[in-house]
Amino acid sequence: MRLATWKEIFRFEVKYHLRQPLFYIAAFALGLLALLLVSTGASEVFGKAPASAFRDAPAVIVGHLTIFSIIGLLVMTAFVASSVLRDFELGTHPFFFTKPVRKFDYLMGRFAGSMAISLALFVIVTAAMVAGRFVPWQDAERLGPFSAVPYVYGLLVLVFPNLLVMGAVFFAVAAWSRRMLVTYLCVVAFLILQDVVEELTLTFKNAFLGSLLEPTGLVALETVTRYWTVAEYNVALPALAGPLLLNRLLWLSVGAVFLGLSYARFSYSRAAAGSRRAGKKFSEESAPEIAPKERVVKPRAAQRFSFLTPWRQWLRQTRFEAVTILRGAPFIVLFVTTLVFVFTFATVIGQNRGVPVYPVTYLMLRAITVSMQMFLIVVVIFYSGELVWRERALGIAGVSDALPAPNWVFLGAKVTALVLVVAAFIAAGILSTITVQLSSGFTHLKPGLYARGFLVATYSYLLLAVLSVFVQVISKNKFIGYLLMIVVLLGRRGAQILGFEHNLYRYGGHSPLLYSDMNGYGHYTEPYLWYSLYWGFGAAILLGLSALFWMRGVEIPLKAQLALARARWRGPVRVFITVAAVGFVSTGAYVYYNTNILNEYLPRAERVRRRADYERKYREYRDEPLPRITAVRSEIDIYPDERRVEIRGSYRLENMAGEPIRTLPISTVGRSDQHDYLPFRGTLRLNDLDLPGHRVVVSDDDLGVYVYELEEALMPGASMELGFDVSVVSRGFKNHGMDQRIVGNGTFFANKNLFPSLGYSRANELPSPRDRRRQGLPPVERTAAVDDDAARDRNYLDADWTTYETTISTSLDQIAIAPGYVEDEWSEGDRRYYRYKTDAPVVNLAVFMSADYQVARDSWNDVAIEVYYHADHPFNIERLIEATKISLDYFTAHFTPYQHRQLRIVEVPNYIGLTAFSLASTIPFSESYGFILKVRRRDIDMVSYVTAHEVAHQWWNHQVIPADVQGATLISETLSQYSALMVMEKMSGAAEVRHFLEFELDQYLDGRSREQVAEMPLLLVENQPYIHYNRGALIMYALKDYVGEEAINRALRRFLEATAFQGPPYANSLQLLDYLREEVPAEMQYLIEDMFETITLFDGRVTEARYRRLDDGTYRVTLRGTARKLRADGQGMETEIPIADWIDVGVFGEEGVLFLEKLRITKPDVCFEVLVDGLPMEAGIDPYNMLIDRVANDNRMSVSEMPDSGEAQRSRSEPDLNRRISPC
Amino acid sequence: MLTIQNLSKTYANGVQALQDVSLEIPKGMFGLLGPNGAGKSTLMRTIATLQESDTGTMFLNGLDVLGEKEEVRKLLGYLPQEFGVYPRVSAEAMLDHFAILKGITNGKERKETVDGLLRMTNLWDVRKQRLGTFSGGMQQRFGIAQALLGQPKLIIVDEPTAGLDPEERQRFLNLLSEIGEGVVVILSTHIVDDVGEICSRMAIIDTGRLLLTGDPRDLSADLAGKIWKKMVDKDEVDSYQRSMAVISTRLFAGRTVVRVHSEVSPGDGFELAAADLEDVYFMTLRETREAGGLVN
Repeated sequence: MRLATWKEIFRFEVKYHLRQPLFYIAAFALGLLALLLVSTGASEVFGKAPASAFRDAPAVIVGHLTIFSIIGLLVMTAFVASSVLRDFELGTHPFFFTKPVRKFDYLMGRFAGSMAISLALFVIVTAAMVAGRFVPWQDAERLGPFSAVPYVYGLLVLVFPNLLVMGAVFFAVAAWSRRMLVTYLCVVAFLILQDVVEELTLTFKNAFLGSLLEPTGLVALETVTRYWTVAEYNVALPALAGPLLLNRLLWLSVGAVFLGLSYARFSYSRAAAGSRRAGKKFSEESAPEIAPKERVVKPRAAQRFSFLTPWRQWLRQTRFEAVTILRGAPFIVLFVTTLVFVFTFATVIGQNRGVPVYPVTYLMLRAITVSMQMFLIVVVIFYSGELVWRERALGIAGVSDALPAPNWVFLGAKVTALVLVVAAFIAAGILSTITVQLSSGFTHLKPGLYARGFLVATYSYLLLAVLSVFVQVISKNKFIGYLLMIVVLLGRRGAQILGFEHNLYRYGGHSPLLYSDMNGYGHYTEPYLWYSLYWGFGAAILLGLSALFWMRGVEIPLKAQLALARARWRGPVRVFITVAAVGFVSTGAYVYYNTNILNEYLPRAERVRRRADYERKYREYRDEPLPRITAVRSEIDIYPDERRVEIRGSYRLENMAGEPIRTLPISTVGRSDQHDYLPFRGTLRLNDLDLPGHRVVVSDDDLGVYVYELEEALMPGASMELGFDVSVVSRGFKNHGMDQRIVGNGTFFANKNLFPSLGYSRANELPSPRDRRRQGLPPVERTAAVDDDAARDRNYLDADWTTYETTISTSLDQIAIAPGYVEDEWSEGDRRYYRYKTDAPVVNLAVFMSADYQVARDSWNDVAIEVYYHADHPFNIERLIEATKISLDYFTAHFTPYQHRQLRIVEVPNYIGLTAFSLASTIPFSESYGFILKVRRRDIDMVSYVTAHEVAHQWWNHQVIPADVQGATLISETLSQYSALMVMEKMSGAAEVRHFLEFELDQYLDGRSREQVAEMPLLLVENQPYIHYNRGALIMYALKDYVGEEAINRALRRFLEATAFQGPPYANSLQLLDYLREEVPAEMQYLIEDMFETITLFDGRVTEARYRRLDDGTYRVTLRGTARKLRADGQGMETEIPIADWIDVGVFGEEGVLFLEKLRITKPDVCFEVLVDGLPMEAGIDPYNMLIDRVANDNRMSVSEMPDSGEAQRSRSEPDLNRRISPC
Repeated sequence: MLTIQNLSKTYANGVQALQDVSLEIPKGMFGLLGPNGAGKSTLMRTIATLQESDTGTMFLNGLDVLGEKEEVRKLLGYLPQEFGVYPRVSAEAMLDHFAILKGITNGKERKETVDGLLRMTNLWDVRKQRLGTFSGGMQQRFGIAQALLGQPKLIIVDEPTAGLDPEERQRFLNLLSEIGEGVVVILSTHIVDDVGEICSRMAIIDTGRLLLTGDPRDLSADLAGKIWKKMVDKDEVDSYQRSMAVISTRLFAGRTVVRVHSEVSPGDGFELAAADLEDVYFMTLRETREAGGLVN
């Protein structure tokens, strides 16, 4: 009987949902998303898997299913909450509760029914994912063999448990609160929490805790698949063990508890009493029995309708709307959550390896905008629906609609209230970041910047609010309105991905508004204002249309609505819309004039096409012999206010090719940077080229390529002059990709950006394999082999030895910097002039800077140290100078003398990102990096480290230039890392270096798991940062540990002496390795192979560590574990190889090291007995993680006391008195 | 004077809510009587500028009600049949807010008006209380208070007494008749007594058609001497209904009182009854329905 009832309710619930449109809409939308995701390769950018793994790698499928279970949460909540709330909303609960239906049957029938529907939905989504494999446009190369296992696994292990757990939780919330609104707010809070846990896990690196606490299993999945290589991704399924298993068990029990709670707390009688109508407290007692005796005379108040009346009504209505939001529980919940988020984010923003930054205002603003973005979008969309439909939802529309206030009063009040709410959020965010600033003792607040940031942020949400209100007004239904808004937002994002990038049709779009403390908002302000004005008019049109379609009175069909709108098309609304439309069109035209006529509008597809064109057309000149630039003279005039630069210069070209040179290809568009293709397109003008008698072969203004044939060939050994006159004139503004180099304060450009360049530039080739495939280009050419002698003719900086002589001028308030030493300095009118000159050839990488700098001067021996910095950033000047001195000390003592008489550190705007460069005697340093890091006592001193690294480049790049072959960055970057580590060891000790290396290990393992082509051994590294920086640092420090600092430095010094200031053929990594090899003892020669020639990994692990106190007061520690040695190929496929390695074995006590020795381990099972003097606390195999180990934290174990037993006594062997350690 | 001419309204689902209604409503209380679904609320909403009609015109003292909605709203006091409240706002604050929207922008005058109306509707003592805690009657009184804000020339109250207890209803009708002097007040109801007690003019509508207009007293006077009643057993009712023009049947102490219309005494134990407005109402409905073949 009972079972039958349960089944009955279950069946009713399922049928109910199958009759509702939501199920079908959700199945369609989510299914389509899944299909597109799998079939278009959007999956390659969605999720954590490496881009080169299969699109349907098992872990990718499981990850996608999990993400879908999170997206689907909103729908599932609708099912589940409706199952428990429906009866209350429809007022049908008395029908059920008075029937003899058991509570269990009612609740569980409803829950199970809604769950069944949710599960069915995800089976459909999964089927759509499978279908995505088989669509015709699928790229079959990117797929692995089909298997149903990962789909089933994902459903059973991740999706179904997630649905059950979240279903139970939100069922409980709905049953308890009786309010759809509260339930949805909990969902939003849940999503945000999920995100926060995910973020914090990344930030604080506590993967295990994060894995447990994050309810959907996403973090657990990421933990399990962490450091997976492509090979592993393609075959392996994340094991249901460890953190994933614990996570599933934990959350399933949480779900069970909630389900139990909702059962226990639910009672029919409370249910009835809790319903809305019956819940009111009557106050009959306060109503008097009879009418008052005294007759009240109706007061006579005049209704005044003047021009001002509607405005007063609008003010009052705005206050009313805003107050009702601000007082509501949803607002308070969102508000508090948001502030917690802002606060957390503001304290961690800008951190580098755990080192915080000074809380400068622009970073605080960024913390506010980034952390609030999601909340505010939710707030605006959610409350716009609430406000637009509020009168109707409360049934008050009948009264308010008949009041003598024009439509715009209500419409305007609602929009204004929304904006006020947003403003309240942002203002509170600012107050919290000011708290963060003051509490860390930072008092240099910038109220003006806060004000501007506040306006910019609020304005963007104002535009969103108008759009959202408009969508609500025309969609005639709150939930359709919400759905439409989501579609609009996704559509805006999707259009961008599809290459529709113009801000003229991206609602609210504007060119990026970048901020730099040095340059303020600078030249980004003007385009931002124009776009804002344009979209302001756009929003005004929407506002006007909203007024035309504003619902007043009863709901009417669409046709009547249109007729009504036509009837309302008169008077002020008509004027308003017309003016807005005129404004919209005319500002739009002005923007278009700037972005498409004064400048060139280049969407990504076009940029890719041009780059491909360049490659197709001019690749033929790739191997053409070229003269080399041996001297550069130039006169540069920088006009910061106009963002204009005039350059007149000349190259001395020498033929060192050994054959006559006739053809001279010259490129004048400015060579591309990594992220910024042809940044000066349209602004860089070639005014004149001056070269001896020639014939024009190619004159391609479009790509800026000119090829000349000299009438008289340049003979070997001969030289010629090439004069040039170029200027950069900024006109108007661009849609995107505005030049970041020539700016009001903080001009920073390189010779390669503006000076003409010779020959074909490989740097302009398209790097992305996908773009190349689509353009029909062959795969990008790999770096030349390490022993390719022809390639050693050029170096990897693509710059030869040359001298510089520069006269540079700028405005009076700025200092201009060019390569070499200041020869002269003078003022003329409102210009300041400098003449700089190098005293010896330098690598032809030159940068020119101009800004209003403060200068700190110091010296080391006869080297002048200068720091050029922005007045607001004085924090780390001494540290920079100190690190420079210690670096110079160490490098000159152990390597070779420093080649310059000066070293300049120059602060440049943060447009270049978080980075620093090293050029001859000059180190440009991003303002957001070393200048605002706040190194506390226990932090890694990243300021000094980065300084030391860049100073080291004066040797590793500027004394020895690596050839453009494999292994080049081993010389330039890895050796700079090593040098900086040595400086760090001197300055802060070995413990800090080890701490630093923990980050390097993590970044290396993370980097290799994202490798797109193939991981190379260090010796053959092909400019892969995770190898030359992170693996390089680990390897060099370990090698130093094995063979000693002196030996390494000797090898480096000899390498430098052999190759410094050498022209072609340039140095390669084989040469370096030879010197290193000589310093390694015979029994450790295997290290060279393991560290440099192959990818070798270790798996060291302690499985048991126990001690026994001996009679003489010493301790005998028994240490068991494993030590395996693995070789990986470029795809990460590992094979175990025999071990015969020297590995640290250590025992540590309260005071530190009790025993630490390198022992030769020859079999994977390790067992040692060690005698130590002090009480052992920890023991480990490779305890300092000198070797690269994917699981670094199991190399140590705390030592426990061995239980006393006779057997242990018997097994005691005679101690070898000479050695404190023996195998067991 | 509100003049309605040839007003018609057909809903999208085919229901004819108003069929060619023409009506003159003078100053004073005007009762609009009709069963549920007769079209009363549609008519009221149309007058209150909340609904469009398909055809017809409507003028209030020369002002085009259908065309000049904004102007009409300035003269309007409207109490809808059903309305909600902002549950967390106090009666006083809400009324003050509505007063602003009604154009009472002078602070002092507004305060006087709000206070006065709160006293008048007996809500003075609970003015600080949240509207969400109000009982049905208190809410209704609040509704009338907001409808009276300003100096409305046209007051429309739709089914105002539904849900009120008898005492509250009485108090409400008293209030209404007090303020109804000098302005047009339209009261729609399906309770005949409401009209009989306070209205000087009335109309009966059903299925969207105007059936009857007149002075309630005249209308019931017309029936004087023609209404007969008799107390019968329940099972006899059917046969009376077949043989006589039964206007209404009403249960009384377990038996049924049958009222019939007849120019002369029907005999058979029927006695003369005092004709009242209810007889007029039922007679009118009955006649129309019979004419339209709508006998229930």
